[in-house]
Amino acid sequence: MRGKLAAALAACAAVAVLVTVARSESGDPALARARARLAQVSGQLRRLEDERQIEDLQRTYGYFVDKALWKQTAELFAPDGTLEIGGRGVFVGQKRILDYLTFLAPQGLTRGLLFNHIQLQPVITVAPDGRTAKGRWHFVSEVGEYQKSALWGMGSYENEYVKQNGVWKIRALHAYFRMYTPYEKGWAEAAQPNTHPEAALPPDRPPTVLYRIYPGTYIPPYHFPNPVTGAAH
Amino acid sequence: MPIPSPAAERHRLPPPLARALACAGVLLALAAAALLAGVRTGRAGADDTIATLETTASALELRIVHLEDEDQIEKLIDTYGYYLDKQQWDQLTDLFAEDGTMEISLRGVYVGKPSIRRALELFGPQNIEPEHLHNHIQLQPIITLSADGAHAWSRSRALSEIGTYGRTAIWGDGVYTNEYVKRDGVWRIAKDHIYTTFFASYDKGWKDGVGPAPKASSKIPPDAPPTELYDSFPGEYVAPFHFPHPVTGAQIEIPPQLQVRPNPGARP
Repeated sequence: MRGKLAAALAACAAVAVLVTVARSESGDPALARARARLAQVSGQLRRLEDERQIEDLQRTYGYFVDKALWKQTAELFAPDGTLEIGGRGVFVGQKRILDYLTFLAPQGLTRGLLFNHIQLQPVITVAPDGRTAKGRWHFVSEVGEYQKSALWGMGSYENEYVKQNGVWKIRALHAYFRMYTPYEKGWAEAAQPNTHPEAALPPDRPPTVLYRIYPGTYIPPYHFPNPVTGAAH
Repeated sequence: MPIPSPAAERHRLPPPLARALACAGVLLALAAAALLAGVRTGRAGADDTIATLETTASALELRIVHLEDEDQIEKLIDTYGYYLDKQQWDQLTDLFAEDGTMEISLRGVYVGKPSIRRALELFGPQNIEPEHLHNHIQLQPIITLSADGAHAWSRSRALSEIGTYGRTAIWGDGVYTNEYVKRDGVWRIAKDHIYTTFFASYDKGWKDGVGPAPKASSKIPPDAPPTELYDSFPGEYVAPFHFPHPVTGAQIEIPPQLQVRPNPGARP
């Protein structure tokens, strides 16, 4: 009798405690839904922010290259990042990337050198997990040496980016040349061939792809499908 | 054997029943307390959850405002370019804050909207005339907002095609380092500063056809001399960066020989 009463009362108390705890913990289902929606919106926003940060990263690359600020350029890459420009092969890691860049021109432009590389037309795709991304860009370059040479250069990038410790870095830069033509003759009369691995600057890996530039034709592979049909290129 | 207390002595009940009632009383009290506490913490918990949701929503709103601000500034830059193309000076002037400044090449600084409007006549009349070309394509913007969201800075560039039919054709290339201010909820140009990389004639290009960056006009003199001095191509310099290195976070150091020179004649 005493035991039964005590057990019944204890059970009542336990149920009461459980009910109140349950109410305060899981809350109203509407609150849970609101929490989930806010988390989803935060993720959507994150993608937009990531895209903008990657655009800023690649545009900064352009401003650095314009002025041969090579040390700062190499620091835009992940430690194991790679660089492949035209047909000279693949350079792996910041040190080798710096070797490649200083082969083009000394650190910091010297008088009479022009090295403009305008960065245009980005299509950025952030991976669903938000840790990597890809970007296709166009570049127009105005390069040359005062009273010696002037060239137009054109091409596109298919680059990869990686987010490390909350910061986007270039994981793989791949510039596909489209055309290099001397300014005075233009592309009706003259076009330079693609570059090739240099004996003075052997790459860490051979070129990933061999292709001819203008007047030849090559379409760099797209990292994204047709945005309307969703079909692969 | 313990001595019974006076109270226990006074309310002498059969021990089993007394213990059962005492136990029940304690349990009832506990249950009531638990219920009360539960209801209270339950309500407080809901308040906490709503407050947390509101905090989260406010943080999201701030991030959206940040993206919208950057977007609006980008459109401001692009619109500036479209007006410049067609020499729509009145509209272009209205993109500036009342106390905004304009510094183009080495022409000096024009301060305030009336002064900016006058200076624009240097490049031709309001509305471009036939046989004239004044294209300034706006490219590669990097926009940075202040922490309070009321100011912003940009680095961008222009590729210009300028000329007069049958007479001149010129390529121009330059870098802007601009500032913006948000007033009455609208972004305006606070400082427009373009550094000339080169001007080159179309026929000779940047190999043989470059000319110097234009200097202060005597016809429509600036309100202040150029803030900085530099030599455009074939000279070399780097327009200062308003942002730190995006990966290392370090200040972007420009080699001394490539730094612009403060103009000793400029106002502080």
